[in-house]
Amino acid sequence: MNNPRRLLIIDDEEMALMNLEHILKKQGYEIATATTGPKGLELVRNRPFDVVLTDLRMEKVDGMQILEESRRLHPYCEVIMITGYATVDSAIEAMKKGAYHYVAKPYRHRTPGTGPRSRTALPKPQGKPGPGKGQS
Amino acid sequence: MAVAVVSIRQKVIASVAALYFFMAAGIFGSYYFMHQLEEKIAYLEDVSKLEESVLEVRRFEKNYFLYGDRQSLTTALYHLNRVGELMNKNVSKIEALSSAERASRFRQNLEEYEKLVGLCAGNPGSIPCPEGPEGRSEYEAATRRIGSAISEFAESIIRQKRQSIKETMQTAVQLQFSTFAIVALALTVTGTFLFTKVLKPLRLLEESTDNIAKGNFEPIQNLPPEKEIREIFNSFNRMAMQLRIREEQLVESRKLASLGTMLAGVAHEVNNPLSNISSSCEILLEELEEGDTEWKRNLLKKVLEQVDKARGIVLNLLEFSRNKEFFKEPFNLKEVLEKTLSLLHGQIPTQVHISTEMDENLRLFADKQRIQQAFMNLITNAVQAIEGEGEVMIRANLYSDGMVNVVIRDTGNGIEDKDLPRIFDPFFTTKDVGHGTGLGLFITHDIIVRHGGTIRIKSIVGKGTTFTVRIPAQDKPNE
Repeated sequence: MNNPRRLLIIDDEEMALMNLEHILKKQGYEIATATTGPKGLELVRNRPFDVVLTDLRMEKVDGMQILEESRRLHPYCEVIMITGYATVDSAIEAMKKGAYHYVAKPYRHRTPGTGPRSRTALPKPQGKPGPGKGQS
Repeated sequence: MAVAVVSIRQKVIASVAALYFFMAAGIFGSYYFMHQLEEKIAYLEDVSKLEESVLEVRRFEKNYFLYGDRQSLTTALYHLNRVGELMNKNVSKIEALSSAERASRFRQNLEEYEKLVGLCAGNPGSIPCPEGPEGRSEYEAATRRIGSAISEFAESIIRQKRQSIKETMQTAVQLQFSTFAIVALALTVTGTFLFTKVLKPLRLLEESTDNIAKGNFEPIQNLPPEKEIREIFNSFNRMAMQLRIREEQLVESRKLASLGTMLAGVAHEVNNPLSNISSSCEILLEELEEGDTEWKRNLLKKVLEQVDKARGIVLNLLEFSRNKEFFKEPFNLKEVLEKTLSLLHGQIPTQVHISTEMDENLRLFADKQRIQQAFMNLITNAVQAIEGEGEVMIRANLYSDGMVNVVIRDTGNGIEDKDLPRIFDPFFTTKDVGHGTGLGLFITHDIIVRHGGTIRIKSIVGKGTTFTVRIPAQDKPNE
């Protein structure tokens, strides 16, 4: 964990945010959180992150706007969308806009491919061991 | 109570038949009297001739006594002969007119008179014409006496004849008047009957039809005994019942439709607590043996909260979807509006901001489920009117007049003036085909009106629409 990856979680639901933060912190990420869309957007604009995990539906500024802004400012940063309102249309839109992954709630962290912490979900850092690798 | 069923048709046929009968009787009666009159007039001519001849006889008799001209008596005899002929011709009628006794005395008088006149007329006879002043005077007196009896009788029968004609004419006129009076009476009775038994029920039917148009499906009470009207009213009541059933089905289907679209949103709404529960369980499983018990207890409490949240959403949905009879109960409007918003949460786009301003203790005595349905329709409409960014404001207050005012204002597209009058009509929609049933506002209006409330709409194209609902807070005082 010499070079922890910087990770931003944006979710207007306190408990979801808290649990994700708890799980991912244990994986050695350096974590920043935002409980509203505008706050998240501000963080995206001001600080570079390796990964942004964002809720899709939030008041005022939604996940799509975060995705667009992040892709525009930091193309290397991977954005993962998380939503309880998953639809095929929004998934396609997110992918077209360059999202790295699209996760539908409810998910299991342990099941491969479904949770943000799973192997396929979180991007592997180049030349560094991915934080998701640690899990068995 | 069993009511004897009578047919209007039978009554009308009977009264029309009676009318025809009276009119026919009147016409036949008039014809009969006219015929009688004709006969009487013809007979009067004969009687007049008889009287004329009697007068002629008397005139020549008078001439004889004045001038002593025997030729006058011959002429008098000629006329007397005419009188005899006319008397013979009409003897039965004359007898009927006066009496058989008088008629026979008249004939005797005629015979006697003929003899007396014949004496001096130069006819050969046993008794010679009296001579000398005494004989002459006696003869004259006798002739004049019998002559005047004859003319009196002739005058009396012509008087009687005239009287009889007059009576016949009076009877004919009376008959016509009576016929007219009876026909007029029959027409009045039939008219009154038709007015009370047909026109009044028709007016009642018209009023009840108007009520149906206003959404009041009350059947007509007090069925009249008239068969036709009774059948029409029965059909009308069957129709009203069917319409009520149809409307209830319509309301139900609209609710199911809105439930369908809402369900997707609600399912997503349940996903959030489920996801939180799932991730919490994973954390707890992983860290079961490790350190901080207090933190874990706290997490478990939060899990329970999330379970309650999910259960609340499901209960809310169940409560909304349950099909219930119209039932009024006291409830807090603010809570119901908030529940409605939570059900709709999944359907409200991120760019649409909802703001509320509601009195805390806003209590209504109403059908909770239907009121919720009404506001759900209004809020859904407001949200759908907004393309892109916008705001929906919901304000609910109790006014001093005991009315609860709920204002739902959106900053959406607005409604064109030409569409405003039809906005509450069933199946009227400005949405694209397949996107609106046109029943939402119709049902909302119906629900509000059923609660004795009103709903008003103000809209400016491009600026937005405001719905103002006013409902009595309580329909019973001191509740």
